[in-house]
Amino acid sequence: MARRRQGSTGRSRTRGGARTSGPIAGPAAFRDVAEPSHVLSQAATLLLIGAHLRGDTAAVRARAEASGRLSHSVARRRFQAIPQSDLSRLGFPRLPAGAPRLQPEALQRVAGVRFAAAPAPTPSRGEARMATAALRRAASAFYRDASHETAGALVEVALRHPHELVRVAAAASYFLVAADPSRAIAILARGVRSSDPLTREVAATALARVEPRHPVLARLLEARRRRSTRRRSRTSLLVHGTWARTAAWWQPPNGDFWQYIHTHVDPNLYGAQDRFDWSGGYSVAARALGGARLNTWVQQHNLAGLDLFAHSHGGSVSMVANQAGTQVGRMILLSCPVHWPQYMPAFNRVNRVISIRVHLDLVILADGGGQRFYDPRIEEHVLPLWFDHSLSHDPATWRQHNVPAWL
Amino acid sequence: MGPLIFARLYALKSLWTVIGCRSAGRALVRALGSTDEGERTVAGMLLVQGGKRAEPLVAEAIRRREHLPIVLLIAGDIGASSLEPELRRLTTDPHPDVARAAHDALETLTAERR
Repeated sequence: MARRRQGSTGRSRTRGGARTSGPIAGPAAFRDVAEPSHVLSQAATLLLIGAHLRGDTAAVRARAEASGRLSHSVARRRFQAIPQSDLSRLGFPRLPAGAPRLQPEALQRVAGVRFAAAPAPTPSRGEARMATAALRRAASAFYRDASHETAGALVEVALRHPHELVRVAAAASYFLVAADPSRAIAILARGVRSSDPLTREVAATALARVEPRHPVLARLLEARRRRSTRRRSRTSLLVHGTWARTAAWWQPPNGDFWQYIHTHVDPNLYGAQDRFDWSGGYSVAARALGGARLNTWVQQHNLAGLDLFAHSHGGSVSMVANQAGTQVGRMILLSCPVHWPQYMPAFNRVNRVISIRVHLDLVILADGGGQRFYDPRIEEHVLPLWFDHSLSHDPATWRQHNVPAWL
Repeated sequence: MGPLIFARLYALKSLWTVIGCRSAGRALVRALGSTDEGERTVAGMLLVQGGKRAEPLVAEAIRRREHLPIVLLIAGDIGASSLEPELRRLTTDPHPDVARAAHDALETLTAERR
């Protein structure tokens, strides 16, 4: 395949991401450093190295088993966090989870290359040329004998790849193979500012995982807020969680949390008799119906852009409504179990997403959901409190920890 | 809800699902009436996670009118089609919370069939 000209920043060839006929399998994926299918296959391979070493499949499986969704033997047999058919099409070899991290010099020795300096966010032409030549060798060695060392060597070389997406993918996995993770942070931070949306997303997700408080992520959130010109809603609404339709705390006008929010946080909190509620059932179907009902309710009341204070799976219901078209100002998720990507906000239809929770929420443990969001577009606040799912809607908690300041 | 209550609920679920101890399942149903919102929620989740195994417990609780607003929703969540006649009957219950829960459970059953 003819090699195409490529700038040293490697921008834009994969813009739009999916413009590829499919993956290039095995070492052949590393024979071209510019063609989109090759670039995407390389990026996927490097990210999969990280996922395998981190043990993502085992972790997701354990979560699914804990949630009881794999109780059926057929479901258990078929369960795969990453479908085997996709791995086969990419020709990804078997790679055991977990291994000791190595020094960069040792990884370069395995790759048969010696770089003069630590990788910069954008490699020099000379470095990129050298890396391109070493890449094929490192890939061949990895596919011949997939081990922690050969995987690490491939990742080390790919940090100087001419294409930014591949550099970012390598940096995302670098923390699992190298003893000095700081080398990859600069590449990810630069990737968050990339003009290519896919590169930006991969970089932001990876950086949020290893350094969620990195200033470049905070700037990303602030910039997004400044750009928003959506009219600020003057109304807000409480959305209850599972089994809580008849619970007192959220009911206007006497529920303690309703009164607290109405008095101290937002005097426009909706409190008329026809306030929204949903069944509170504990199933995907019940939440889907609740989300559709919320979307209709907002339209009927002409309240597009309202703020939502949502507890537990009321957050999932809010996200379903948001995905269905409801415009939201602030979405405040209180102790919301994370079922990503099944329940996620439509970020183009919400101004801010704020998640507030306690440590090791026992109800979320029973639910099998994740305990926190890792998307940098969601502001995550963990109260210095443990276990109790209800504390996030307790007025005493809000007063004692000055929660309104986070909004 | 503290870790002890949580552990107790999980122990009840294990007794119910692993060795089929029905009284442990009934204890989970009773926990639906707890004043502790967390305990109530986890008990309900564990019953739903039991799937069809929870159907006899739910049927029994409906007969006894035990914690009906939650129990009826559980019937919908576990797809208990055999309880559909009971759910239909309860849509006209004089207690508005019960009638609404029965209506919502039927709606969930229909959505799950789609």
